[in-house]
Amino acid sequence: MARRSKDHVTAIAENARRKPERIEHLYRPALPIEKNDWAIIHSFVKPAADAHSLSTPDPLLRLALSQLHRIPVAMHAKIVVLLTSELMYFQKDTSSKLFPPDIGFVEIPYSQGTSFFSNIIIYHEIGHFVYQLFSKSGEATFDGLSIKLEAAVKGQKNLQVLTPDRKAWLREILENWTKEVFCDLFAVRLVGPAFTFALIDLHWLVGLMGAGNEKQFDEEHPSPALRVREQLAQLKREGWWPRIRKLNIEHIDLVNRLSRIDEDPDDLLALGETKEVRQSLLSAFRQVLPAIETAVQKATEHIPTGKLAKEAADYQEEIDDCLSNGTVPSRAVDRDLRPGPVAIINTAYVFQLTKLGSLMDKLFKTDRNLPADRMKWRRKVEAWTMKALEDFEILNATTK
Amino acid sequence: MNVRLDLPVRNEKSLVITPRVRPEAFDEDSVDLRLGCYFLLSKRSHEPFFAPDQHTATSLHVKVHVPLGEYLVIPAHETVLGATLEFIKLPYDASGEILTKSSVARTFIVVETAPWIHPEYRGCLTLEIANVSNTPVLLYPGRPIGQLVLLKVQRRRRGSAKLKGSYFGPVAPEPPAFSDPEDELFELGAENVSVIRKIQLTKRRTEDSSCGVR
Repeated sequence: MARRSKDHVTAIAENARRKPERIEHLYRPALPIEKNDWAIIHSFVKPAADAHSLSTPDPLLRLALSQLHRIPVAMHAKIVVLLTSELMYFQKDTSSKLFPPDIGFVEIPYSQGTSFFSNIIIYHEIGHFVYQLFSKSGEATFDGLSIKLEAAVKGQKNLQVLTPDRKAWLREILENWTKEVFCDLFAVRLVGPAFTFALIDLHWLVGLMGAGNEKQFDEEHPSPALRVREQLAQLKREGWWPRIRKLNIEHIDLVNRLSRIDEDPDDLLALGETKEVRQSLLSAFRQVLPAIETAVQKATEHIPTGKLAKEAADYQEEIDDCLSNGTVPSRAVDRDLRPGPVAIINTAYVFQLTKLGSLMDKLFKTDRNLPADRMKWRRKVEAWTMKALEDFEILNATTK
Repeated sequence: MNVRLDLPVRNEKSLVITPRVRPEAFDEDSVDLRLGCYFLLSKRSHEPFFAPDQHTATSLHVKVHVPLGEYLVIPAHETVLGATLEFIKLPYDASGEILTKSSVARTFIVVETAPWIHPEYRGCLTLEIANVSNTPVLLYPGRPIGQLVLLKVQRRRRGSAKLKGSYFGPVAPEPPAFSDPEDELFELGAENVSVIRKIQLTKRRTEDSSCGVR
């Protein structure tokens, strides 16, 4: 890239020497453009350099990448992780020509860099990247979704009477919500309920799970309640829900409570439109929801997910036995028949949420009621889970 | 040994050594262990000395990750902390000793000056890896580096109902866990212990430099 930039600038200088009359209108304006491009690239350099393998959940990223490579449009995709100072996860839109099209940029909060379970949210951001790849590729996978989006907008009389720019704006909002639900379902399909738990934890942390915030829509996101409801439907389709619904954790109570909430036009007050328009937008979005699920199924059809829930259930006892006795769950993968990484992640996450005390009770000078102690052993369980994923990779490579 | 490897982890007689990449690594009397991917390198400090106490113990090292396929260079006459790739859990009635693998020792790499592993220990073993040769040596994570020898301990039952240990369940080399010297020496009756805290040094240096400016 540097060489090409140098060639480009040299060419500008040579051309300017030959045709000085073009300097003012053509060659001089070209230089700031080049400079700005480099400024953009530089804004990626520091956060990417900070996000080295010690400050990111490296095994999780490698797992996500291995799954991503099974999707035909993402076979050669790469993910670059950036550390951000914000307490939120993002996917940087890289539709700029500066970057090769198959590089996805995912930003994770620097404070969460080394934690494992919270960072499962990167699957949602990778979903954005996949959506972007499919949209660009022109493949038929998303045709149904696009048609449904258009039809849903056209089918609402209250939207049709609006000015073209307002209509376009509302159409964009609808697509933003569609993307969000797509990414959630994509993540649940690939990594199971661990994603839902991680998202609930994050939403809790940023205050989106109470005081009525769980019902609010904005321009970018549908309400957390709707998102949870759609995830619940996906968990049921994938066979996870019957295995986790009886867990005695707040996450399950919250999923049950939020999934019963029905949206109403007042939840869209942030958009500032009339009640009729808000109602129409909601109706249009409800019509699009089934098409999102179909698009997720099609986009991930090459990734085997059918037996993940059963696998996690089959190995739950053994993995619990390892973790509650201070041992990496690699022990469970260390044989010819072994659970896959998604099963390991989900069983370990459930262990951390429900049985961390059983580990702490076995340890000298450790109090399960002390937040500092809980944090210490929570980190330990995360480290053991990451180690199990690394060991899985090694053993899988050896078996091949 | 193989029988114990198959026991459930909750069984106090169980032995865990994982991942077991190659079955032939398990001999009658020892197990080959591989080098893991995480290291602690000693930091070049600007302090005139290192005083081991509970505040400074983590300031001595820089952690690095060397992925499989890459290597770490140990300069001549330097030591790094590494860890085994394998996670070990010893039964209540066995202790272990880690030795440098003979082929590695012949490259003038010495592993371990604290080789003893207590019963019930669990974790990846921290290795003190010293290059005692005059030449820099490359270390590749994933290659065999040591041998674990297990020894039977005559115990009828576990010593304590709870598990203890300063280093429980690490998956990477961990910095040392020190108490403050005054706490440890108080037990021996030393009421006045001379200590220098890092913060005092820093403060003094600031004062000195501000004097210079005046």
